[in-house]
Amino acid sequence: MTRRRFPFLKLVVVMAVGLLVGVGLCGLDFALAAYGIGKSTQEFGVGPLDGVSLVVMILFAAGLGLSLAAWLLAAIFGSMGSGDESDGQR
Amino acid sequence: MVPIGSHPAWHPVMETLAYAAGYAVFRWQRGRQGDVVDEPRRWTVLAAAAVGALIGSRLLGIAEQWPTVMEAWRSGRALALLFSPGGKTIVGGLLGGWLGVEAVKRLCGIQRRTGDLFALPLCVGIAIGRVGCLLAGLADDTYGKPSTLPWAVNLGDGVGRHPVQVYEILFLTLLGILVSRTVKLPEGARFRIFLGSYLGWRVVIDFLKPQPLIGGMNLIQWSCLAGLLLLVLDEIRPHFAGGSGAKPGGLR
Repeated sequence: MTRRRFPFLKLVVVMAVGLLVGVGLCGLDFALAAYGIGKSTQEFGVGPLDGVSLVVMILFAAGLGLSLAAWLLAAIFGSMGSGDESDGQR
Repeated sequence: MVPIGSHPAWHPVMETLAYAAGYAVFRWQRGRQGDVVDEPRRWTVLAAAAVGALIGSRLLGIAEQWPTVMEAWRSGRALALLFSPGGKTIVGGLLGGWLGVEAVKRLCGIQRRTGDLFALPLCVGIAIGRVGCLLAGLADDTYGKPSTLPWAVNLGDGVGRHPVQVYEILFLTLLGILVSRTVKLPEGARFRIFLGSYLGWRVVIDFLKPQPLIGGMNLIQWSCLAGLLLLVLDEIRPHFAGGSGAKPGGLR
């Protein structure tokens, strides 16, 4: 009987893609900057608009780090737990 | 001159749609023609591709803005640059994803070539993403050089420019048709055709983009040449590895 595992790798993919989109939220920055909200595109200072993209980026970055770590731990303990699951998530 | 303007808020919308459409095409293809690896291994490959693409895309994106990077470095704001929005590239994503998959496949002992199922989804995803680049206009660093051609686009500054994003969408449409043909090809060939063609295309089309040059080409073009060289080396390496027992292609 096969044991059902938590799909850590699917979570890793979702978090990585989410972070990729988050990195590209500059579109929103530029749109709001046109109305005088947020930062100048030439600066690195944190403005109200950056808040949104920064929160998205940081949440997905943290999610990615945690899901990668959880997957690694699950893979290590999974392989220690039984020797017949070599085809499980790696 | 075709009026387009600059609508940068559409970029993340189209980008999200691109990922979703790419995944939908991937699922459809996998269901229709099957897979060379089982489900857990496929997700291992997908995760490696996603993380590799993220790292590669960001690294090349930041490197591409090297004058800004140097300025940020000198003023002690390099960390802020890492988290500042923008600055990612398709070429970096492709190369990073490819190398990420190769590394993880070696670690996990996956022998099969797993890239064929990615060729058409990448064509679809990049084409949709380029619509976002076109709509973003001058806010996105992917616009073309000034042009007087009848189909030049006005991105809001009154200057007619090459619609390089449209050129790329047309190219990807042709490439998508080519890689989705049902002719029998060796395992991994569809992905290599896609990757080689896209990198070659970018070397050419980026001459129509006003970007800082190093030795006559921008950083993305140099990266494309490096990727092409890697593809060629990986293709010819088994022929020099000795014996007919050598497995084709170390990097898959």
